[in-house]
Amino acid sequence: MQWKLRDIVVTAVLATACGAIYLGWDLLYKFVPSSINPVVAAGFNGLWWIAAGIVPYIIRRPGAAVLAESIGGFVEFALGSPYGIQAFTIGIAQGLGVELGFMVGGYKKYNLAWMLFATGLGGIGNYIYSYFYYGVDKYTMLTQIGYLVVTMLSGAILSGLLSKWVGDAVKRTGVLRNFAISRSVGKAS
Amino acid sequence: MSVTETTQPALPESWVEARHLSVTYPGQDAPALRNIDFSLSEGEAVLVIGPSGCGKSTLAMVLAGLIPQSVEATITGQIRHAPILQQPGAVGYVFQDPEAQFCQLTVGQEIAFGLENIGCRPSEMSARIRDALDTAGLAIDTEAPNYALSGGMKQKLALAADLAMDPQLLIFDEPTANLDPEATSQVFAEIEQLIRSGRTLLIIEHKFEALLDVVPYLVLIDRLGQIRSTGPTKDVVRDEWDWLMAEGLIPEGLSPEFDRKSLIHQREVGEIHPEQPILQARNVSYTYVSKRLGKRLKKQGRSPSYALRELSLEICPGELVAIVGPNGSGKSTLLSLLAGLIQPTQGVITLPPVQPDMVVPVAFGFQNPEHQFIFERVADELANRFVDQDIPDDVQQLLREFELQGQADQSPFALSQGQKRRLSVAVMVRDPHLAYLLDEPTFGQDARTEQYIMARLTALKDQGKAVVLTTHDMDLVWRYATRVVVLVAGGMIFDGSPQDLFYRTDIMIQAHLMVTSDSNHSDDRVSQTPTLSHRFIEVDRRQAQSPIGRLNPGWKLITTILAMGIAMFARHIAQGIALGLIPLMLLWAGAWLTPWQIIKRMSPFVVFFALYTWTLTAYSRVGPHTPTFWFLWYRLSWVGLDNGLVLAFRMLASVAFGILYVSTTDVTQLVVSLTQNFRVPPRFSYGTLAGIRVFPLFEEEWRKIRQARALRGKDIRRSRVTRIVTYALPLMTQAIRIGERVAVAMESRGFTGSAAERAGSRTYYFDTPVSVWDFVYLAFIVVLSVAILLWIR
Repeated sequence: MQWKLRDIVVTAVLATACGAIYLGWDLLYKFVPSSINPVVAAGFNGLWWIAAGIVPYIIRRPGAAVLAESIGGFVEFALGSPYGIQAFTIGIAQGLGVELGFMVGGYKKYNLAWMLFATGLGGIGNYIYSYFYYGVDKYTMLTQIGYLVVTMLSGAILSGLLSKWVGDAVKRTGVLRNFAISRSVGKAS
Repeated sequence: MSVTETTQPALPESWVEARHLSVTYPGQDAPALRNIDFSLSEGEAVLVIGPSGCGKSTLAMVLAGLIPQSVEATITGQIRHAPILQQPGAVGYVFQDPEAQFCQLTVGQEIAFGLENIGCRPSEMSARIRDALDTAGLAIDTEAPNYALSGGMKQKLALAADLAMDPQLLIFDEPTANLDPEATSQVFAEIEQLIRSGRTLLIIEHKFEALLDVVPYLVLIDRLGQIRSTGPTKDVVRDEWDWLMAEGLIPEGLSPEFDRKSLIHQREVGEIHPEQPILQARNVSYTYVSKRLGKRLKKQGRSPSYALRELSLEICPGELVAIVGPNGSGKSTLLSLLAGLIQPTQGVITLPPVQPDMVVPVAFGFQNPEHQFIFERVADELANRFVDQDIPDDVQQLLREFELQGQADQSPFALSQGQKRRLSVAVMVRDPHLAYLLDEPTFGQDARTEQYIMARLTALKDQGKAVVLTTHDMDLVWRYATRVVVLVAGGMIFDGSPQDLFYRTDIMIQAHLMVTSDSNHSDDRVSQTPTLSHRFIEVDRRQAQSPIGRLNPGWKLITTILAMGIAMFARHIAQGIALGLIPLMLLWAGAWLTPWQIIKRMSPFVVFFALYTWTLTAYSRVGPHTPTFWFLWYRLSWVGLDNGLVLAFRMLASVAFGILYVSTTDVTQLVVSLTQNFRVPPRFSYGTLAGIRVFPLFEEEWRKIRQARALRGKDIRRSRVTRIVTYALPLMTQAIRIGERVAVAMESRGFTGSAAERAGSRTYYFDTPVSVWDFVYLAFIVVLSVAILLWIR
């Protein structure tokens, strides 16, 4: 379970790329009916922690979700996110949520169900942060519940399912031969 | 040099010695190297050659100790390193890919990285860096960003980074594979210099002819990964000539008394039909500078730099045109324009009209074949649609023709270099086209694949198609081209037959197409800098010198996050405004940005502030007696508006604090500070920095992949399901490969053991000291924010 230098560098490369995607997502979000309904808008949230899905799925080390999501969030912030430094701090919260999921699995479970579960938990991190910071506490109770549920589902799909789908495809290309994803034949994926 | 088949025991003073050594990579059945007996002693220089994929790099990495330390593999037999080679940094390693062996942002930092790993005293670093740059023949400022160097300069920088550590053994692993002929000859000149000065060297090289006179010993490795023969270079070449030819290591038509002139006269020019050109470019100019920036430059009386200027060209049926010129001269730009991938800034490109029996009249082959692949299975790729187990006959035939039998179910990305290239050419020739444009089709291929591809292209030419390719390989030009176009700095300086070019040495030298005797002169071309990615890597000098710019980056980050946390408790508009004013004032007074700069940087975010206000106005929870207004289906309230404005001002503070941080902080310093001041293991901080550094490469990759998709016809665009994966795959595979290579390169420069584990076990090129001002700043921000919350109601 030791982090190798290669794991760290690849984590940073992938997380940085995710950070650029987040920035694009920030801008896209602007044109989307986020002003129509917060619950609808919550459906977009999940992609913002895809780094916390794809990196642990490949690297499979303790802390991978938090590290990847922090780097992704920091890059998003540094590239000029409209959320300012919040992009970084909420990234840590989302990453911690996902990390909890993988920790519960003893960092051994990375099958589809577990990916959906862990990345769904990222939605709770997102909810708690938004509750205190983005005024979610001001919404009506019904809107809040809807926001939480949709956010978690969004995380499970846009972060979890997508990560597994892309990760498996990359695994088939053979470039991941030296990473944990390729060592756990049979029991995990 | 004493390599033994069976006879004498190795001399005691040999530095590296392998006996019956075999190396097998995990997940592979066949060993990459078999039964190697080899030894290398002080002062020896050895050239290793063999067909591509034969295990040359594996041998180099075992000798360097990188296998099994950094790259996992199973080793059987013995390998022994003399103690002198076991210290960190004792073996210098120059890798093939100039992009994938750096982990820092500037030339000075890059060289210093190795010195930090071996614990060199900071006071000595500057002198050692200067010396190393001199020895490597790289005359450049240590502050220069290393992404802006040309390929040749990057390889020299890699060499300098190794030389600074005073290595005992230097290994060059195909250092010129990505370089133009001029840069190649510069690297070769460096190698010659090093051999003369008595260094111990091991060199792996594809285009090795120029080195045969220089390197005294030669090792041949065969396809199975066994040593075929070793000895003094001249003897081995003489004895093994037939084998070298048979393996395609020496292109056909070369003889030991090789004369390039003969190549030209051997080839007969086919029939050309100049009366009906297929592709036409008239007065074409192209700039990568956006229209908006171009206008602004014009106002300032400057003109944007052009990648191509006022170029006219006609491509006719039956021609095989080679576009040559130094790196960055506009070759690929011209090719993309001719393919219609990009539109000219000025001038006209005339493409052939859409033909009834063709999907697209012009086919385009990317330099990296992976950019072309949009399916996950070779058979699907060749069919350009999903086919099941019953592979259609035409696909079967293509598989046979391109020697891809047995690979039908493989992922195209999992193929070998040569197979990938053959597949990408097979995809191009599957459907009929009028013109075939290829960007460096023989790049990274061994002579055998090169011959195979060029034979296919020549056949197309003979059928009356037009073939246009870019290349660095002049032998390919002499041998196959019917016409050569020479570009220098975006202008065409020659357009004619290879025969005419051959005698124009003036043009050849100007375009870096010739190995000149004076090849050591410095090359000051600096490539185009990517736009987006360096916004956060570079800090303006003025901001760096401002009071906030001089604070410790780690503590500054903590202060910034604390300020955000406190702002969370703002409940009134007045509080929000006051909190937002703090960073705005600091941007001006503390970071020395002008008010105009501040407005400009804040303006993109105004829309977002409006959005927050609106969301809460419409969705806030309201008490039973609060007045609300219905607007369409929204229930608006003053309480909500109030909530929304508070949030908007908090976000303004967040964004302004963010801009304050980014515009005053260098990312390298942040990383160093995390390790120096907060004891983050260097492996994590420097590893992350190395990963972030790779990012700029993505912009380029992304652009190419989008273009490649556009070329595959509309049926592909319809199959949306595969889209995300087909975009992500080439990017991800590339990212992971580069990440892995960077990690190996870092470890080869001594980034192992305690130097990578503990912050206290390495030295630092520059300090990120913590001073009393860092705490003054922290206290100032915290006290001021809390005071605002308490006093303003």
